[in-house]
Amino acid sequence: MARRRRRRSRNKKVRRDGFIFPTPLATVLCTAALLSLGYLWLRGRCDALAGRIVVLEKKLAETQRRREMEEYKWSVMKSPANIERSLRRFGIRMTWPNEERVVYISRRECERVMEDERCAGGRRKAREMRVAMNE
Amino acid sequence: MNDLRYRWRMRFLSAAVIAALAGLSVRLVFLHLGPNEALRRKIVKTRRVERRLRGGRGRIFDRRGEIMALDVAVKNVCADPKLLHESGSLQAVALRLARLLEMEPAVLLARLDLPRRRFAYVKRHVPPEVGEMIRRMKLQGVFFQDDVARYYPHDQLMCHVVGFVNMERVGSAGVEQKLDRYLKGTPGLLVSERDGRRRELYDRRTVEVPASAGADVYLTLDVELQYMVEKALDEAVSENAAKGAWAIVERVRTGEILAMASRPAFNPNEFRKSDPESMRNRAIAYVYEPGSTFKLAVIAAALNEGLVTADEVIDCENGVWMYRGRPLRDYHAHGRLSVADVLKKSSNIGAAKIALRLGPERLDRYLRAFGFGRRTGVGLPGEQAGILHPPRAWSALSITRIAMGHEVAVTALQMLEMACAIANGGYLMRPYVVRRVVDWRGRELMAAEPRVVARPIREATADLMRRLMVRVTEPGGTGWRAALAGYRVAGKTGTAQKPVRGGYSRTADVASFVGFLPAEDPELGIIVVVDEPQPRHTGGAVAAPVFRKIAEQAVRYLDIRSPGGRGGGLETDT
Repeated sequence: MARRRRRRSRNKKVRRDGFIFPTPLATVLCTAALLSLGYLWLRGRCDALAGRIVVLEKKLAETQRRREMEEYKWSVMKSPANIERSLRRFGIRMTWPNEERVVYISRRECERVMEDERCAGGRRKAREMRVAMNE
Repeated sequence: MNDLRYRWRMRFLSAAVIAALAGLSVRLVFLHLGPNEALRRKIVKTRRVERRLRGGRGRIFDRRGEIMALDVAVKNVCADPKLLHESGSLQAVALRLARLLEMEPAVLLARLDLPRRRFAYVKRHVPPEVGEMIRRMKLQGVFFQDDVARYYPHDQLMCHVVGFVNMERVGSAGVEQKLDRYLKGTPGLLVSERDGRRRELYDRRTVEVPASAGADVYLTLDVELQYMVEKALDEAVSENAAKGAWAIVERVRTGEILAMASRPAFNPNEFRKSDPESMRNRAIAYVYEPGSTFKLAVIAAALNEGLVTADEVIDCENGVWMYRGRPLRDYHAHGRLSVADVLKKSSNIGAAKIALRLGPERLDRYLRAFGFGRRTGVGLPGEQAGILHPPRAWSALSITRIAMGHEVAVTALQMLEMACAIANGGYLMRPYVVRRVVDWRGRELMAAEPRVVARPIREATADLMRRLMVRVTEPGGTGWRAALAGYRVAGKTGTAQKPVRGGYSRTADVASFVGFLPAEDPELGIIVVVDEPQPRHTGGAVAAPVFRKIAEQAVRYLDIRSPGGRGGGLETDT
């Protein structure tokens, strides 16, 4: 019993040799430091994003303003009175074509014409290729 | 010795620095923890940003998507008159601004000559480019405000239908007024803080209610067709030295208004400079005695009741008929005419005799069924109901006068609706100018559908009336000038003396023509009214040519083809 007590007191002396930072405290401090750094990083990111959002908001408003202005200008240019004025300025006189000169094309006819065009195009291409290949 | 002095100096300096820092710290603590509410409020107020976000007003489009009205961001050029006075640059600044803003220098000087004021508008609603040019000039005491203005790219085209908004951006006429609740957007709110450089801090936003833009309105009117109609009216007014003119083009089967024009007109971009009379949409707000065009309703009613037939002969008394001691005259003397010819020759006496067969009660019932005496509900502000007194208020002569379009007052739209009901197999449609309303997300808030209001006459009667009306535009009819090559046109002329105190004017008339085409399968209904034309004054001579001018362009533009061309389709012999 006495030997055991002596051994314990010797062990205590060994521990008192230098200051050892408590591991749990170190863990808490490291975590806190990490969290703080994380917070600072996130805060920085948020600030940067916020700044960017404000800039983009301004840009959006500016783009909308420009779009409105362009729409307005385009509408003014397209107005029938303006077109007529422009035609008059260039000495162009436009009239409705006579009814007999208007050709009405049905959808079926239109598709047939397009098909013919496509075939003609294919034939032309084949002919060109034959020429190219010295056939 | 030196060491000692140095040490004292150091001590003194340290003490001074420590004292200063302590003072600052104490002040800081007092500022933060002390009772400085007023100061804190001032700081909060300086940092606080409260901005109303613009919920732009919706746009107005024609039926093809052409913009008729839109919001445009503009600048208000403002100045600090006190600063300008103190710096002695008032004259120079006013001259430079006047040149750029196209203003009278004297006017601008008077506007800025307010030495005690810190704020004055130089000019409102300046285009951003001009604002930028002024900004580059870096004029002392001149600054800008962002604003929004309502612009109408087509100026006076369709002005009476589109209307305008006032300076407070409230719809004050036309569709702008009627659909203000849809068009006006909801403004948003932004409450936030700003940094030392007056930049808004996004993460300090406490309130952010986004603005919602107003809904877009799509009209049934077509800008090209409207232009043709307005041009034809302008020519009619100048050729006939008329006081005014108005016309409506309507799709017979649906009641959609394709064009509605009125002269005189105004420019909605400069509504404050316009005469109030020119802002009146006469097509719906001017009531007039329709004259002979009204005979259509009377004869249609009598035919529908089976009281007369188209070939029944009526004695037109050679131009003068004494009824209850008062003479009733025809414009041209006629002897015996069939009912069909009463319409073709526009005999007042013939129409009066037909009305007498109907009787007051029945005639009144038919006229009300045709929509007279009440608003059509076209969806525009300022529409008039016209005047149609109940039969108990009629005099003994009234029925003969109403038969020829006197003692009643109508709007052009009411007359057109009546003609379109005849063209549409007897179905009276509700006219409308707004096709749909779409919000900024693309959701449809309102969509107009064709709606039958009444059916005053049977289809067989309507069919017969169509054939009788075609005869009016054939040679020998009063409306031959409305005839269109390749198409059968059905119509009726009207010339009414304007009522003046104690009777009717001998010099002032209202000339009109109402009709539809192609008569075999009607697509378009058109009415033209010319107010006080000179020297020609009859509907046949003044309004019918305008009708033809509009109709011949409209059929080409809308690609309306005649079912059988002239001579085919509709049998006109009665």
